[in-house]
Amino acid sequence: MNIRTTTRRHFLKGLTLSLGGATYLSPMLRRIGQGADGIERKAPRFLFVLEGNGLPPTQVHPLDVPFVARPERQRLTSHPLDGRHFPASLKPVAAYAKRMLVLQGLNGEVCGGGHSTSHGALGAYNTRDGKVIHDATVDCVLGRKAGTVFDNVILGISAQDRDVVFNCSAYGPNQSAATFCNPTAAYHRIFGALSGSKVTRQQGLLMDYLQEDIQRARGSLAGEEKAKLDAYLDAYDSIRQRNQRAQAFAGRGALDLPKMDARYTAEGPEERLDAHFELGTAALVAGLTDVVTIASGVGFRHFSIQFSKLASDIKHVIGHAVIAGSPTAIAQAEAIRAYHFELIARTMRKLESMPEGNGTMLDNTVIVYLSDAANSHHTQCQEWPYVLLGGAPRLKLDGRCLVYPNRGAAGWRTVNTIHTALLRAAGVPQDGFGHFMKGVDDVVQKGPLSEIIA
Amino acid sequence: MKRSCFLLLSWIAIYRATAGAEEPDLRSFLKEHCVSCHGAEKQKGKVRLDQLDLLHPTAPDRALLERVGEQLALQEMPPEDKPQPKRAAVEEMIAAIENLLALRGERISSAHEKLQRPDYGNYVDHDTLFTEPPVRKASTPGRIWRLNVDSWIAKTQDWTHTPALFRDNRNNAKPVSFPYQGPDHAFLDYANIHWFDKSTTEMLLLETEQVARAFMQRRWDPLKKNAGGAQERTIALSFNVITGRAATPEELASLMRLRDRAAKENPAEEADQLVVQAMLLRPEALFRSEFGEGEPDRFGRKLLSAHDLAIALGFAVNVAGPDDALLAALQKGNAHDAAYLASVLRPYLRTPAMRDRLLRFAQEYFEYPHAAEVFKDAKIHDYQPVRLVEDADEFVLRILDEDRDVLRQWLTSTNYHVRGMFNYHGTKIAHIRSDNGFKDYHGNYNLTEIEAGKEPHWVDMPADERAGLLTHPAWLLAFSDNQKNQAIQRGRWVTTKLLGGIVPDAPVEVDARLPDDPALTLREKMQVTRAEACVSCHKKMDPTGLPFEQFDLFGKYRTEENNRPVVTTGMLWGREVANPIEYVRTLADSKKVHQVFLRHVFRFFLGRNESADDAPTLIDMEKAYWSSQGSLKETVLTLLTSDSFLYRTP
Repeated sequence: MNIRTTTRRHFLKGLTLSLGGATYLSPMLRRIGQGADGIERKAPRFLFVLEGNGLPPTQVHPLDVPFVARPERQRLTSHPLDGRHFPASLKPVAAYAKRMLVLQGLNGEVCGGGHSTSHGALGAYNTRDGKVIHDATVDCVLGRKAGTVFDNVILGISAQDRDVVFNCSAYGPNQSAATFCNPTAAYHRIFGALSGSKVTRQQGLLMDYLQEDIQRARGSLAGEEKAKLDAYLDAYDSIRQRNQRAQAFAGRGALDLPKMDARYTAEGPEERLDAHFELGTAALVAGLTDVVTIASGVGFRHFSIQFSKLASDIKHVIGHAVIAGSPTAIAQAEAIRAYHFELIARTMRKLESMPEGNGTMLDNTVIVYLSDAANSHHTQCQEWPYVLLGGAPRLKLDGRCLVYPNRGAAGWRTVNTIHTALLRAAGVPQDGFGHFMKGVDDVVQKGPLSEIIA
Repeated sequence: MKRSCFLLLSWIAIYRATAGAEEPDLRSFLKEHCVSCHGAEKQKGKVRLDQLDLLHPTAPDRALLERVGEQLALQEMPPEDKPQPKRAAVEEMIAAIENLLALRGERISSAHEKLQRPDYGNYVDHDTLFTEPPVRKASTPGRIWRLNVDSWIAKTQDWTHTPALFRDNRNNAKPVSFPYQGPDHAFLDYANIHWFDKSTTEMLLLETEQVARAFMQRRWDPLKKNAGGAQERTIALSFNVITGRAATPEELASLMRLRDRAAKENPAEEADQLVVQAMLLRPEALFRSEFGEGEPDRFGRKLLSAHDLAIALGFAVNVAGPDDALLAALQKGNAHDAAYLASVLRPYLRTPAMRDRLLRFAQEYFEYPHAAEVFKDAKIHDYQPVRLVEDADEFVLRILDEDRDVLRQWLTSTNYHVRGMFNYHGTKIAHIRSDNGFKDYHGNYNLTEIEAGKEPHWVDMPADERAGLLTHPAWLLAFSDNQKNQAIQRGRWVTTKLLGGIVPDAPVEVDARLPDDPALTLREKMQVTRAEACVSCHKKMDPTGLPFEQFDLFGKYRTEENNRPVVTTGMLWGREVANPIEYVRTLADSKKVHQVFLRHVFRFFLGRNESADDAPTLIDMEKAYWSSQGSLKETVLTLLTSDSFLYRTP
């Protein structure tokens, strides 16, 4: 990542001046220009990092804050994080303790459970082993609102050797979003349109032809059959809009792109993950997207990764051994998690080095770390640990560990509320997000998680 | 206000004219079956129905009406332990609610949508499907049907003359633009659940570029030569290759316009490739189109055109679609004459491609290939699931080849294929143990190493230990996990796939944990499912899965569990069964089990759930099955020449 600070400001400013007349681009460009002019952003960027195999609450709990087991939690407690003794997993981000929130005890039973909640982790619904995608996930709702070149950049690694998987994010009901697992392919997708617009122009010609052709074909259809072609047509509209936005970026200044090196073609998950964090960060810094999701082994078919440099076992074996209390397995799980937080810390340092408004990009970027398997290798989602880092004008990311009470006790809250809080922070006010549990009061599962709202 | 009153009165008039005559019966239905739990005294689930006035156009809350309709349609109400209304009364009630909602421009959307889903096939009343209706009017709704991924791969290989295209041995990786995102335990290739969205379309752009490139490498120049070098003619020939038909002048002109535009800023070869890619992305190249043609009959049905029928049949018997001979035969003869059609199709039933299709059916129906995906910690459990799945495939295929009493054989045959203790690497063989450290392949079958042998062979298993696929290690493994058998899932399979029963999805908040106590048997751990909140669903699964406790979590026959005699009893149709062998043989003797099996055959080949109108087709399939001594191929032939297959309705 070597987009120079001054170059970026120059690039973004120049972009808005030269393209101000394009109406479909203007909101995006206006917002980018405001950042370059030193005007505060209203909606933050988001980096979601999901790591498969469960996140045992103790692995992100300050060592010098007594850990109370879920059944014994009767009230909400708050503990400052600054100066705390961090567990191995969180040590890489210890320097950002004042910009961190550790959330313990949020109830996610509405998402079901098992080895993974799949899209449910970001959708707040039960996908039944990833088979039923009820609605858009929170990252995609946020991305849609952002109106950047790419609504979302979704990257990841999988135990299966595939370039693309569908495992984590969704644009809408039954519309899983592609997670790019091949860093080289992801690089070309994100930056290809900027480095050369030939492909984009060719796609434009294709889409002109196809829109006519599909329109003709759909004319003879009705109902659900027509809807199938409408979805196909809408997809091209969406790609066309993205390409137009990308073209606006192309050739508008010295935008230093990440340099593809051995990590981009490596087979090891450590290198691939490293490359994905670099790509995601670069996309955020460049303003190509406001929402990046990194899915590290999300979903039952994808989570059992062998991190050869960090652990001797695949994650499935580690998961079972952690449940059994094996110190070796716990150490391996923590080493892998710490590696994720090292990469998160690197991203934070990069964002912190980039001036924006009256602060830095980190002041306007929320990093959300969680596991799609909530608290355990085999989870019922009765508690769902989260780590939030960074900054956002409407969120209080101010160095606290909040421990929510167990289900039924006064003040217990569900994961829906954190999604709602993130949406509020981005200027998308909603009463709630996801599915709700029957017989549970609205105050528990609707509205934002008030303790983190500024 | 006046306008509102007028509308209200008009609405009531319309409603009285359409449904009003039945209203008193509906009121008594509610009183008889609903109000005792949802009335003035009790409001279970905070639902009150005694004040629901179906005659009043605005009073009933839409959501409440829809919920009542859905509960009835999905047979979730009245509860099983309450007196059940006659099916006809339920249908009347649903129709009245639909009427009411329709007049308000609404419908029971969630129930309608659910009943089309692959996992809701059993919701159609079974007896109705095997009762001759007053009139035979089966047909399939007109539809477009996304090619399945294997069909698309085969097509692209054929179009490009590139057999290696998309051949990727990494985890069976296939083109990602054709993902399957359907429910568990159901057939993958349903017409109504697959299309292209934002993500898959983006993938499609990349993957069709790959296909177009291969086309340019292998096909373009020969076609250009055939066209005498003429640009337009070459494009026309390419169109013919990809769509199987000649382009209309308008279609050709449109492609030429694209070519001209592309050539302005690209080299000629790239412009040509772009035109080929455009053809590959046309809906016609991605979807099968089935709408029928000609005048509709008195039921509004239209016959599929000979061409569309050839395509539908071609994909039914071969994942690669129709060959030229099939297309020609249907163009030449009367494609809608069942006898002629059967004579054309019969040879296809004996082809390797059809063998593969029927194997695929068996794999998706029995779900045993899932054994290869089940995680078992290799440090604790060393076994070879892929090899066991291959054995199961051979078992299935041998019975398919014999094609007599197929379901009974699949459920009861003791003649198992055993792959043997050697691995094969080209012409060399190596002992399985030295290759992958495998310890106990033979043990899964309770065979000694010597009995398992070195070479693939067939073994007659002890008749009191094994009987058919449900006692085969592959099937048993598919429904197990790292620590235990999944007796509940096994029972669910039997209940839904053989008994035609309905098992609702578990509530979202269900705590599905069984106790961890290692001293308890699985059966003892499953006592927790007798809790009031669980038992209504689990009584449909647990008793039908527990007989398979005769086998351990590797499919090995056992007589003890936790050093105690293993208990293998279960319940079937209200009677206790002693062990899995008696159990599966009883199932295999059942006429209804065969009927449920035929319903699944129908779903696989039609790509949709059966409806009440399909009763004649299922009745004919059943007749064909028994009159052919249980030939699955003859049964499929009957299906492929049925009205359900030949007719489409708007």
